[in-house]
Amino acid sequence: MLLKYRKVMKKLKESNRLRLHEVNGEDKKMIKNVMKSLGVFRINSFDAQIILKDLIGMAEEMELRDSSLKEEIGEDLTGYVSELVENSRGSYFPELSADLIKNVSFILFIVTAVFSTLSPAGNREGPLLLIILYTFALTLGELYRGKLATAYYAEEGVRRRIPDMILFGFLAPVVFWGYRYEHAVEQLSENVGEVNYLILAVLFGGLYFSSVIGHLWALKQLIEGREHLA
Amino acid sequence: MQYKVGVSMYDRRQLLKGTLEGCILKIIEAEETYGYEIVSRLRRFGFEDAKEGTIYPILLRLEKKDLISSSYKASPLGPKRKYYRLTTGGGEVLLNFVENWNQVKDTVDTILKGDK
Repeated sequence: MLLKYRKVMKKLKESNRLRLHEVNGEDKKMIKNVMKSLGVFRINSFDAQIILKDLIGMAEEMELRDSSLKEEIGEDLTGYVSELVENSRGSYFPELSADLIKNVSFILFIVTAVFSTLSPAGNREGPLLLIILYTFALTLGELYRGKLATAYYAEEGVRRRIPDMILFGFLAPVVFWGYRYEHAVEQLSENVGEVNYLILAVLFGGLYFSSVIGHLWALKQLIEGREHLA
Repeated sequence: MQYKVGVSMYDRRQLLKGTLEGCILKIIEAEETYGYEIVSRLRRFGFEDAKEGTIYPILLRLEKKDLISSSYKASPLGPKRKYYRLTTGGGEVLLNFVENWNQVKDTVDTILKGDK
């Protein structure tokens, strides 16, 4: 039932991406700049896609009338974007938080599952401080990736994956360092204690699953009754 | 002495800001219509500066307040267009706007004529 809303969103995003590709150079650049300025923390994902669809529609119609979107919007892009944000439904906290928890818990699930598999047989314990460090680093990295994601959303090919690559480039050394110098972390975390990574992997797996449901629920709240706009 | 535009001269945009919303509701009341057509009518009525890009945030606001609703329909030009129609709430707000506008207009006219 909830998956229906993810399909609606996916279809809308895909259609926007394909149509944007056909928009003429100047207007495409303008639309990309608007999308970059909208940002995930200012507007929810569905409203952002509807605005994108409308701007593409306007650009297409203007081209047929020998005009351009740039002429219609004017030079004050910052003011225009502020007006769009002000008149939209804004960002949606349940969507933002579910998305953050989903992405962070997924990586923590992978990390703890790998660590518990690599541990010598019978010893799946590891420093809790390491997991706290990872959670902190991941949350920061994910917030940054989320901010960048809208900026690169309208890009094509590999460029669209730049935020993910930056996140990976930032996290990989942190995870490697943590694993390589686990003993040093253990010494630092004498007062914090150890934790069973296998249990943590199960907990993070459960958290990931719950946040996926939470994210779908948030999408339902944003899309329900507006499916015809997608 | 030179006056800077926008500082000493009256800013027409500020005057139009609230009234444009009412005018758009009136245009949409007549029939279901789309952005470019709304702009064309506004221009015909004297709002020469009206542009589709600039009325779009107003349409977003009206939709957010549930005063209008929208749907995409095929257009003869090719790409699908977003058509707007008035909701029941929008009709009530329009009536209210007309009433308030007439009152304000009469008051301002009286003041500008200098009548007591």
